[in-house]
Amino acid sequence: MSSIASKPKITHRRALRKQLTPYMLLAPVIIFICCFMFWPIINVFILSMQNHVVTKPKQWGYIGFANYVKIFTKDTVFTKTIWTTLRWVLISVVFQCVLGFWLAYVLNKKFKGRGIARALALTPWAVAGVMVGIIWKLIMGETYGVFNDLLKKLGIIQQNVSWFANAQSATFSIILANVWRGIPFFTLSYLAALSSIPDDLYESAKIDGASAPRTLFSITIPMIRDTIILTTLLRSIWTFNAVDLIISMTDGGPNRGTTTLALYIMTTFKGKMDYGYASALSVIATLIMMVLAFIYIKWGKLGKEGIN
Amino acid sequence: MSRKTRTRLANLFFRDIPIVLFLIFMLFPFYWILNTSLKDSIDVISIPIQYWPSHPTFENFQGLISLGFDRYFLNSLFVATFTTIIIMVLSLLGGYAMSRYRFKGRTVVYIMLLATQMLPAVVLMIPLFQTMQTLGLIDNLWSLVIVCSCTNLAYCMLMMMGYYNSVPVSLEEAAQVDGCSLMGGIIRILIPTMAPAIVATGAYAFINAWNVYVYAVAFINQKKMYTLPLGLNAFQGEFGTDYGHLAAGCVVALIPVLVIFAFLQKRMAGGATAGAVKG
Repeated sequence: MSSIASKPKITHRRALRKQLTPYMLLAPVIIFICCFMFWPIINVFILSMQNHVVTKPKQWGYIGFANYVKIFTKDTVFTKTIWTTLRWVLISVVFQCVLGFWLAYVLNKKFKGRGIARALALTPWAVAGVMVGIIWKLIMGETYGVFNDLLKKLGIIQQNVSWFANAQSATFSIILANVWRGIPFFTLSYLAALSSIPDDLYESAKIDGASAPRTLFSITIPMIRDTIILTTLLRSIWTFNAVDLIISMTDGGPNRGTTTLALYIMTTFKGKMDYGYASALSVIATLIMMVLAFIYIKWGKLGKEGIN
Repeated sequence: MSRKTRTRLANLFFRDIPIVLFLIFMLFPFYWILNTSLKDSIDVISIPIQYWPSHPTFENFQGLISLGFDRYFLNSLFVATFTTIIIMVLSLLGGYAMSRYRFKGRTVVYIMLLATQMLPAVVLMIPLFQTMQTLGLIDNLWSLVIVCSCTNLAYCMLMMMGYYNSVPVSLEEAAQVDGCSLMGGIIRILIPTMAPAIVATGAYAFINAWNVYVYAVAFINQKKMYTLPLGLNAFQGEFGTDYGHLAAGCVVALIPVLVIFAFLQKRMAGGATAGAVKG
């Protein structure tokens, strides 16, 4: 008798357990992320309202929005870095995206040795930002750099160019290095997306007599639109973030010409040890990024079909 | 022009030439760093520039040990290994939950994971530095392990979710009918099936932890705790023109990631973006 009576209870417990399982599986991840990613973000906001220069502990304390006011009214470096950052992110990502797509497009065609070609072409992805900077600095050095030597051999320049001497050419150098490093990410993503497009779409386009460019713009690109939007968004954020490459290549110079907002935060934090001011800068950076990301996702109509 | 030559020409201009040019662009820097690392101290600054070392030597590599690079190497290895282990375990479990269950708050978790991808390191660095100070983990490699695990967790979990999605549920259901527990089903059935994918996720975590820089700058001050990126950048600052050793250091730091990347690249296939977009 008792065994029959307890039966629904067991199934009930089992159902509850089944309901709880996903939460238990996810618990460590969520705790980890909350402790070390979301809690710090709140902290950085609190810190941004304080005067907290490590070397001047006597002046520590709450100062309201004074850091922010200073940033927007007095800080000329800040305005300069905003433009540098925009240029750096925009040019880098556009070139990476277009070249990355082109590379994926050609690597998606069938040919002998495709596997090897893919593996080789994607390797820069794995290189640390610091090393990308060091390698390209070596390549673009004025006297002993191979870049100048190659350009001379090709007859493009007559005399060695000092790439790191002025802001413009230094920006060109870091962007070139960054494009080199960023192409593989796009290529990888687009290769995956391209392979998910059903072949019959291309077949019917062929039967309808569509030209190759037409097929590209009316089928291929619209089909992978979500991937394009997501990759450019992620890459923009990562490029914004990529201080390591700039530090090892130009260290923000000459004359702060390649100092992006992220690098400015870094030097305020590590060099001046002004934690309050650096926090305020990073809150602004986060806000700018969130707003831009939001507009971009809305404008691009990302994930119209929704996640499931 | 016959049709055959026309397709041949088209292939040449729209496939072969671009591929060759791309390959040259992508691979030349690697060649150059290797070339530089094999030159002796005279050849490295000789004009005209040598495209092939005329007196190839390993002396730059031997010199690395006295410069402390062996220590940096081991430190990087420590950080990357433990980060990989933590991420593998957590994303195996979390990815399973995201892929197999439709539970309340799933979308919230999903958005949360994507949101972590948008938090820049330079922003997290400041409060995390204070956290690590409180925990007494400054100049301790565990601080890097913890932070690298967190920052890469979301991407790895989404990657794993995508892999789980590609394995039919019927596999584990059959195992559970046969009396396997949930964990038993994951360990005995799913993990062997997905082994290559799991290796790829681990490889991804390893490479990112190996390359971590911003947090390392924030948390590590002592030279003997430096990881390779820190050590390389410091060396560049101190001995900027010692190109030979600098290049040799880069080559040594590159070898592990390039070997691991060979495993990763086939499987990574877009990772989170593919997984995210296709659900």
